Amino acid sequence: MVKKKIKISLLLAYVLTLFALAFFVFPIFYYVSLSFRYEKDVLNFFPTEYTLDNYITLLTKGVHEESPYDIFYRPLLNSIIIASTSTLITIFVTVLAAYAVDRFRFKGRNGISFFILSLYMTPPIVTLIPLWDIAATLHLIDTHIFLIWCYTMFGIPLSFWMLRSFVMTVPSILEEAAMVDGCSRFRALIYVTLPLLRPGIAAASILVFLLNWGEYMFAGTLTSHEAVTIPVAIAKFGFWLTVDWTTMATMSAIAMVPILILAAFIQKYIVSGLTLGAVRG
Amino acid sequence: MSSEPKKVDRRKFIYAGLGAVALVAIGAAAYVAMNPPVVTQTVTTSTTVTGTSTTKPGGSIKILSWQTPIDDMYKKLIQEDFTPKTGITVQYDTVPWGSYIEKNLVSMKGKSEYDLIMNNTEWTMPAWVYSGGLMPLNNRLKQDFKVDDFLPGFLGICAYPPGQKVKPTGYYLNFSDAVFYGVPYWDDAQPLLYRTDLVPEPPKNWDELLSIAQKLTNPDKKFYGYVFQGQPKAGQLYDAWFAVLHGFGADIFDDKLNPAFNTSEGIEGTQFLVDLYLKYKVVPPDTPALDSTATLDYYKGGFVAMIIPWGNSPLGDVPVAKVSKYDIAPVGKRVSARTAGAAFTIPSTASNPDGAWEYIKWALSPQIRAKIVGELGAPVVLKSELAYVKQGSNAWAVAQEVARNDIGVNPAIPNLTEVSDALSVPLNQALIGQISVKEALSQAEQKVKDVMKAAALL
Amino acid sequence: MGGILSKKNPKGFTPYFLLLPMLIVVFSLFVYPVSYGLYISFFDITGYYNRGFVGLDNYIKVISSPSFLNSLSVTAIYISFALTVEFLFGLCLAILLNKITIGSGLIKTLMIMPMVIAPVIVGLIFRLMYDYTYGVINMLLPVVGLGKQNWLVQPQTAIFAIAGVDIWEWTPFVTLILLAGIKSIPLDLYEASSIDGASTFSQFRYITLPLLKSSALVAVIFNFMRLIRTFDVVVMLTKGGPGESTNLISYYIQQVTIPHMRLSQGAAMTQLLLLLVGLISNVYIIYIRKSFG
Repeated sequence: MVKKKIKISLLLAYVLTLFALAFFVFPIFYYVSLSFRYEKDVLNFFPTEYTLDNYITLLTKGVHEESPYDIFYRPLLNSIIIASTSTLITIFVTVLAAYAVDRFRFKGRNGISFFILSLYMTPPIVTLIPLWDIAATLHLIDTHIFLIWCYTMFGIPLSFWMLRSFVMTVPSILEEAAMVDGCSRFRALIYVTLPLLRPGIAAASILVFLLNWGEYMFAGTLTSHEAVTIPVAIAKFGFWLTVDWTTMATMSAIAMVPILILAAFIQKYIVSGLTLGAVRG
Repeated sequence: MSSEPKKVDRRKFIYAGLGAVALVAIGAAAYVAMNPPVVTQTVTTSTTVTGTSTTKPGGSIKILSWQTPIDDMYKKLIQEDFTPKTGITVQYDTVPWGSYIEKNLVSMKGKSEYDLIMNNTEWTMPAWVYSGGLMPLNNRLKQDFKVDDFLPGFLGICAYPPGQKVKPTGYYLNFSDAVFYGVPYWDDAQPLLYRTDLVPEPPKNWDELLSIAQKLTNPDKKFYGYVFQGQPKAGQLYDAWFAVLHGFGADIFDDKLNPAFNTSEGIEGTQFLVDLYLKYKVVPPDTPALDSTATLDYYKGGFVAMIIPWGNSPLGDVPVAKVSKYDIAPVGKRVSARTAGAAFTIPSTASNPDGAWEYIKWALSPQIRAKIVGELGAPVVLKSELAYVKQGSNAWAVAQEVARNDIGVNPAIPNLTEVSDALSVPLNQALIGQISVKEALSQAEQKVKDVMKAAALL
Repeated sequence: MGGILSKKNPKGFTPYFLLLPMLIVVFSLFVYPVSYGLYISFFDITGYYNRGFVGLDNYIKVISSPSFLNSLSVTAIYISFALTVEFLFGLCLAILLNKITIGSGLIKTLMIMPMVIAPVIVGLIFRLMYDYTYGVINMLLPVVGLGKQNWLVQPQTAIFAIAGVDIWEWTPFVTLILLAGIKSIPLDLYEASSIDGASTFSQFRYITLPLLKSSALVAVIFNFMRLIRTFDVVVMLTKGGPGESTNLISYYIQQVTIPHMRLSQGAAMTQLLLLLVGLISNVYIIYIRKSFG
């Protein structure tokens, strides 16, 4: 009898999990499926026919001839450039900083860590307003450079936090051994520590990249048509003449699906990154 | 992380205080470095003689506009005609409407990078005029054009009374002493668009519209007689409401910039609009959330029979286009429509104003306009262009409305966005039945007063 | 600890050298803008005039402005609702997933999907789903016997509809954190207590919950910091309406400063927001120190 009870509760657990998963995943699939339909089928639950037309139009000539900004490759390209560059800078900067904070004893060591972590508490609107005014005065609105620079700030608290925890798990004995053998400190850092930090760097860069890829507030405010990123394109241009659900769904799918597939592969990194430090052992 | 020693607590306050002072100091230094103090320029009646040069200006100009098909055609003609003729190269920046206002207002800061801006007369041009950022164009205009050639309604929008920076009622028709900050380029209005297969005769006034809509509305078939924008942001509900308000005889401001819509006419008009949704239910149930693209979508999709859209929004190639026609909006005490558009304006800090003026002359010359208006169907700006429009088309209806002397115009104030947003909140609440119309208009009046006082305009 | 290379610290400058890039970024993108914002908040500057120094005038105006206070209260309702639901929902899911052994990799993959999508896209998805006539939610509700709602048009439901989006997007996050927390509780505790005759419920109450405290706090603080910055969803769904019932603070400040061009008032608001967030996080830190010694 007890075995049956356990089995039923386990079965119930699986069923409930299935419902929960459906709850979280269904909207995504439903929405992506819209990109494979014709406009007329948008409002039905199940479409009558499927098509790839939306993708072809969007990626080649743009949907509305009046608005050249519906040609999606430009926001796509911008997003890739801006998100990757800023992620690279962020990671580079925080690796050095995390290393310095852990390996050296100096005044303000704790203060700096604390300060960086507390930066995460700041809602970005606080820096957006002054930065917007600064950019407008310097005619830097709608430039890639400015947006990339702004984005480097977003990932720093998170990346610093993760990398610092990670650096702490790498014993310094290895570097000291290398230095005894004649390496300078920097070479030791690059050739000994860095390879060991790879999982942490991977996790941090993925999370930071995702953060920068989907950011809208700064991108929407600081760009107008040159440096437009995907989220801005979706929010502003998709509504150019019509609430074109199929076009929007296609744009969204192009933005989402590669990320989702990527996420599937590196799920372990993402989860470990998110939960790192959450469980203080 | 190791815990911090408790002795630090008192020091923390000192550090915090020093930090705050340091912050303000940094900010001050930064601000001064970036912004040499800008004094609001007082607008003087301009009698500066800006002679037109007799030699070819050459050089280059930079233009800012929002994207319309007309711009595309102009760009083509620039390459074929303008640059070869005058030797001026043009960098023509077009931006989608959704980003235009912000880009335009941002470019007001500091030295303008543009020589010519197609300034939207409602949402951006007033701020430019108020801050003294536009070059008055009187002498050039009177020299190279005839004031009489223009459709007066629209020229009146570009004209300001001497010495004034704002226009509570939007028009100034005394062209002899007006200061012209712009030259009409593109105008739009709100005609009535209706289904000829369902509506044999377009309604002449609101009562007729209501009775036609009531006959045609069939909620079970999801078909409605009319639709309007109810979305409180981005001036959507404001667009719909202003038109009705104007038609019923009320204005937003009086000439002292006091709110003037909380009158019996204003209440009547607002009540009528709200009743369309709450009482008569002749508009779709999600009207309070619709914007102009959504409402036009409803019409295009065949879900509504009548709509008052912006005239220059094309219907496109949809089945209902074949059975659609444009006409003048319903007329109450005045026609229930508003006109707005874009004017050629030259920033006072432009680097090549002469080149910009050459462009304006060329862009409004008859041969070019023949192509733009005649072939492309752009809105009519000069009286001579009235010959090109077809009866029943949107261009014709727009021209008819603009040619009237009772069409509505938005007040030319620099903070129109703020005023319309403030107004729209209680209006939207009245629309969904949360508060009564009287209550909404009183609240709106107070809010508008607050906003105008805060901007020191009242 | 990784260890300190204190021996090889001759001039003591190398750490600063390594820290310099980050300090440059933080200075130029945080310290400088915040101080600049502080500075201009003492002036009266809008997009079309600059009236000079006005001292604390902006702050007084902001604090007494009903719109600003409304925005704060709306944000407070939104945050507390979302925090509570996400926590409870996430806790239930974490307990549920704790029992699952097969396919945990797949489950985790599916669970992180809502989080990695750009919030703008999530907003779009929900805009379609919340639609009165054609949205999935209103199509399914009658099936279960509940009535349709005009989610985004009614002020009573709008703010909760917006919260619903965040709940959908980030409950997996809470779940994963709590799950990791649950899994880190040593099983001996459960075994020992069941030998002593404890029921599943008491086990949950006296073992699981207290030991989850640290993970729960982390989840809550992350959520709080994220909820305060909600912006994209408001833009895509309601734009602050109906009325002012979804004027979340980040959205409200952006609207005041950029479309309405009230630069110095917006700057004053951001300083106040910073102060508020600083206070809350200090309270939080003090609480952590107290409960963890």
